[in-house]
Formats: sequence, structure tokens, C-alpha cells
Amino acid sequence: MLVISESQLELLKRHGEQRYPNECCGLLIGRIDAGGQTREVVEVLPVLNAWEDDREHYHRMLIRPQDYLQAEVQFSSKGMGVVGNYHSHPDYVAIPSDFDLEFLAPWTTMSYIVISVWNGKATDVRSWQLTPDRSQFNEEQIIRGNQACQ
Amino acid sequence: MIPVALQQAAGGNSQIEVEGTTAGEVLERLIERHEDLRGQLYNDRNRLRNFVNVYLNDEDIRYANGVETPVKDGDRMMIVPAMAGGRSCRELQSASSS
Repeated sequence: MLVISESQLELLKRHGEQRYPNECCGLLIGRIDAGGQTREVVEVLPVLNAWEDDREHYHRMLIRPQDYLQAEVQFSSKGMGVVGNYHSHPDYVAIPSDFDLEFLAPWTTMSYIVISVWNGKATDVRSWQLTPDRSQFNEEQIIRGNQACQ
Repeated sequence: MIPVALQQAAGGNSQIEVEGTTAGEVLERLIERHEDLRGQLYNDRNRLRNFVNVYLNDEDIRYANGVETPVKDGDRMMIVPAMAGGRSCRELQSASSS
């Protein structure tokens, strides 16, 4: 499951709306519990959509490895790092696509949030986890916590 | 350095010291020590998954000699993924017709 505050969820929605009709993307920074079942988001880190052809940003996003690396290094002293990513689907449902299944999810231990933005308004936020055999995403529960402590 | 998302598979470690003369050798020894990492990093053909990037002292080894890139005492390696997403063409057509 994913623990994230209301204000962080709002930030994700606003990012999706700001980037509409293009896709937004970013990293979820936080901790993973010892059992690996719960990811707690402490900070949301919007990043630039680095997909090379910006004419395709309406249906494609790319998070640069350098952004991931920088986040891991920046937060490692606090025992935190990248526990997931997020991106928006302009005028489409918040369900991972076939393309997402192939390229979105490197690790089965992270959370993958998809934000649905219809006509410029964020309407749905859902979180997904990749199955161990990497064949599909399963939706995971979002626990709306208070503002997570730093 | 082990990314947070892989630390559980690496015995809870955020950093692991591994010996080796090349980046590939270091990775292989890391996997030998923490077998749970294999499925995350390697595909069924025992090759590094396409999205896995390995940085040696902040440089992507792909732009050096790949897994044959030499490593020396004190070097730092980091496993970093590329992540892309978006709707497929079929889904774009479905959205535009709805």
C-alpha cells in the first residue's frame, strides 16, 4: 500500500493540470517498511518530462536516470530514496497502459501512480504495483495520511 | 550504493562493498551475494534488463565500455533505472472515439 498525504496528492493533481494537454511526471520520495509492503511518501519531486520529441509529450513521458540518481543521493542521508513515480494520462483513465507495463516500472517494489486529467481537470489518482512476474499491474490501496513527517 | 527500492532484496543494505575488476564482475558478485536482486536486474536470458543503467562514479558505463568498464578500489557504483510511460496508440484511438 501507499501512504501519502492529501496535500501531496493535491500537488500531483495540480502538476497534471498544469502540464495538460501534455503528460507530467515525477518521483515519490520516502521510505519502504521492513516487510516491503508499505511505501510512505515524504516528498513529491516533480521532474521535467525528458521524452526527446516534445511533440509527443501529450502521450509520452520519460524520467531521466540522472534525476533518479540525484534524488537517491540527495535523500540517502535521511534514510530515504525513490519509492515510486507518477505520471498523468491526459484525457484517459488512471490505468497503466501497455506502454507503461513495458517501460514504466523497473522494480516490483515501487509504487506507480497514474493521474487521470480530463479536459484539464484532474479527476482520478490511482496507485499500482507491478506483479513479481512483471506480467501486469495490480492496483494498491492509497492511505491518505497526514502531512508525512520529515 | 543500493537504491531504496532494492535495499530489501540486498539484505537491507544501502551500501555494499564488492570486489571486482570490471563493472560486470562487481554486479555478478553483488548478485551472488544477494540472489533476490537477480530478478530485478536481469531478464530470463541473464542479461541486464534494458532499463537498468549502471553508473560508475556518476558516469553511465554505457558510454564507457559497458560491463567491461574497469573498476578500481574506492570506485562507487549505482544502479539507476530509466522510466518512461504514456498511452499506447490503441488507447489514444479509444480515448478520441469516446
